[in-house]
Order: sequence, then C-alpha cells, then structure tokens
Amino acid sequence: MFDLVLQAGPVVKLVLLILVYFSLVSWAIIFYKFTIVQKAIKESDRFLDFFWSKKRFDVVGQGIKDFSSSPLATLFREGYHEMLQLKKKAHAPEDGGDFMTKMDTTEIVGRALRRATTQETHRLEKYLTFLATTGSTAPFIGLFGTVWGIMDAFHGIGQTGSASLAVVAPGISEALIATAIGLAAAIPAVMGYNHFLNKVNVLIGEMDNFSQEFLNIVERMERN
Amino acid sequence: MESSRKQRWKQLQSLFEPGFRRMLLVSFLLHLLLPILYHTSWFPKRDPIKPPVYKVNLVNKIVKNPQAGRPEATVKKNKAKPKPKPKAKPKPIPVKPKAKPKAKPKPVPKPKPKPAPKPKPKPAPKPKVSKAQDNARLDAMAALKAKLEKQKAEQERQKKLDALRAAAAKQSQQIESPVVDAPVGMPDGKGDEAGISAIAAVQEFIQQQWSLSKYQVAGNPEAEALLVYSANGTLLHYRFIEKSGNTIFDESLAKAINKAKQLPEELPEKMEFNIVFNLKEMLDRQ
Repeated sequence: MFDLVLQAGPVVKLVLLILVYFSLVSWAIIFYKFTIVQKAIKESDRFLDFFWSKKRFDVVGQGIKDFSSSPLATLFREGYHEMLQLKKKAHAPEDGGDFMTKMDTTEIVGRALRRATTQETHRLEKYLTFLATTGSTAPFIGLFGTVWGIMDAFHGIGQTGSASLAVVAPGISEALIATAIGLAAAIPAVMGYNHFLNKVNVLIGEMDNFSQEFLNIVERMERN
Repeated sequence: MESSRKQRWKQLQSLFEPGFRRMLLVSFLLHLLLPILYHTSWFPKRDPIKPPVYKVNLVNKIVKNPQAGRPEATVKKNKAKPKPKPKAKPKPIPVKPKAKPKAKPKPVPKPKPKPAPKPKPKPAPKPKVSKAQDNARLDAMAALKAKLEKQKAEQERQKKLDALRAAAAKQSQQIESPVVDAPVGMPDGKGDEAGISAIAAVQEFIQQQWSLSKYQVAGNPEAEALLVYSANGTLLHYRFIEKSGNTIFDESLAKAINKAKQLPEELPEKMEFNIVFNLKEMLDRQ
C-alpha cells in the first residue's frame, strides 16, 4: 500500500500530504478534547456535590481551587466575585454607593454569569470547528486526488495504447488511495465532532441550570 | 480574580493551548506507528509473493536446465512442424514457422490463375472447321471449360482458406507470444537447454486435471505436496507435506494428482517435485 503512495503523481502526493495533516491535527484535537471534556464533566459533578453540601458561599469560594477545570466552578467564581464587589460598594457609599444601590444585584450577577457562560462555551468548543471542517472537506479533497490520479492514469493508457487490466489497474488503485485516506481522516473527525458537540451541549445546559440556581440563591439572600 | 480571567482569555486566543502541543505529538507518533504496524503480522498481506504463473506448452520438451525464454513461445508452431524441435536448440524454432504461413499461400494461387484465361480466347477465333470436328471440339471444349471452372472454384476456395489460415495464425501468434522471436524456455531459466522446466510442466498438467468451483471453497487455502515421478513420466508416489486444512480443496488436489499419474511426456530422469497449490492461483489459471 505504501508503494502505491510513493508511486503516485505529484498532485496526488500533495493531496495525500494535506489529508495526513488534517488527520494528524484531527486526532490531536480528539485526544485533547477528550481529556478536557472528561475532566470538565467529572469536576463539574464533583463541584455540584460540593456546592450543595456547603450552605455558605464563602466556604464554597474557599474550596473552589480544587475545581479548576470545571466550567461551573468558573461560573460560581465569576458570580461570587461580582457579588463581593457589589457588597463592597454598598458598604462604601462615598464611592458612588447611591448609584450602585439603585441597580438590581441579581441583574448584575446574572450578566456576569452570562459572560462567564459564553467564555466557557467558547473554551469548550475551541478546535471543534477544525473537526467539522475535516469531516466535511477531507472526502472531497481525497476525491479530487482520485479524479486527478485517474485522469493521469487514463492519459498514460492513451499514450501506451494498451487497455489491459494490468495497465489500467495500478493507476486507478494509486488514485483511489487518496479517497481512502480522505475517508480515513473524515470519519473519526465527524464522529469526534458529534460526540464532543453533544458533551459540550450537556455542559452548556448544566451551566445554564447552575446560573439559574445561583441567581435564585442571590435573590433569596437579597430579600432576606 | 482579574488575573485569572485574563489568563483564560489569553488561553482562548492562543492557537495552541498548553496540553494541545502534547496531544499533537501523540497524534504524530500514532500516525508514524501506522506504517510500522502495517509491516507487522497484524496486517497480513493479502497477496503473498507468488511464484510466477507459467502457461506451459506440454508439447515442448521437458528438460532439466531450461534456458531463459517463454514456455509458450512456440505453441502454434509445434502443431505445424514438430520435427525441427529437437534439432533447433536456440532460436531457430520461432523463426522457421513464422515463414511458413507466408510461404504457403503464395505459390498456390500464382501459377494456376495463368492457364485459366489462356484456353478461353483460343477456341473463339477458330470457328471454320468441319461439323464432326467442330462438334468433337465443342464437346472437348465444354469438358475442358467445366474442368477449368471446377479448378478455378477450387483455387478460389483454397485461396480464401489460405488467407483465413494465415490471418488466424497471425492472430494466434499475437495472443500466445507477444515477443515473436522469444526462445523456448522459462522466464527464470538459467540453463542452456531449449525446453521447459519439469516442475512447471507437471504443475500445469495437474492443473489441467484439476477442477473445482470457486463457490465450493472459501478463503485462499494453500497446500504443499511432494510428488515423485519416474523417468518415463509415471507417478511413483506422492504425499502432502502440508495440507491446506480445507478437506474439499485437499480432496480435489488428490483427485487431480491421481488423474495425472502418467505425464504426456517423459522426464529427463526420475524426479521429485515440491509443488505448492494455491486455490486463487489455480482458479485464475482455470
């Protein structure tokens, strides 16, 4: 099989190089995302247990360093930080405290949480576009290499004037290897993309839920 | 707090996140591993290196040390003239029969068409003779004419036949041996005798006796057999060195070997043959 690659023409070789690059980066992304997403899911679960077991925000805030990979922990940190700042401003009226008290604390914390959610979503979805691009373009790039290779093979057949299977087959099999590698690059990329998109969506859902819960708690605290 | 937020933003902006470089390296190593794995036994090669497939002409003489050449180089020529074979050791065999088909058709048609038109004009200019003579002459002429016509038709038929034969010979020459002046021998021959190798001839003969449908056996079984033939081409005994494991295939081989008990030609001496029978290869040659 590797002889086929070596025997292929320059265009087919270039196509194969591009496809190998796509495959290499795709697999790197798959491995990287796998570790990131798995860690995020595991730590989020642990963080939720930890969060609901503690009744006070300051206690949770102290133990948050153990959950650096959890997007929920990041949300909590952002929201809690915003709350602390609001409290500080409320206790120091000379720094424009009148203006601060007029604003709804829940709304400000909610905005901080939304921003953190967007940032975490971006972080989780980073590199996934490359997987999608590989999945959708690699077969076409491979097909281009095949078409080019077959064109070349037929040209050669025309020149030699012989059309026996022994003459036609090697050129075509050389060309078909481009499609095979294109598919080999695209299939794991598409599978990985769908898998990670699903996991990221689950995490986004969890982040939304957590934001709502967090805001509820903040509002309850406000009313009390 | 502010610093951690900035750090996260920077991470988001960077092309390579800290762990991503390591994963790129892992991916690169895995891709390198693929060609290495390909050459191990984990990826069995579908087509093991097979010995070249010979189509042996069994009319050719079986020799011990065949020279380099083509086994089927003289397939058609042998039928035309079997005598020169033993005499001509190196190249004369393919050369001589080549000339034959050309030489045959030429002499036949050329001399005979000439007498045909001559007798026709002769009787025409002599009408003034006695009646009896005239009648006798007319009868003779009619007989002659009929004879001539018959001859002419015969010639025509012969001519057409020769042309057809020449065309067929030419075509068959092209099919059987693209290298027209190839000497009789074996592609891997290293000896100096004009003929074909005994093992190839025996294998081909057994192959001719063998029959099996490709639907009867799955996979690509391979069996190895040791056959001992006497100098006059009789099978003394045989045994399987390695059976294929497929009973149908092994039985079909045993049947073919039993059918090939007597070779059509004698061997140079008592010989032992170690022959590998591969199902796919045999089906290809069927």
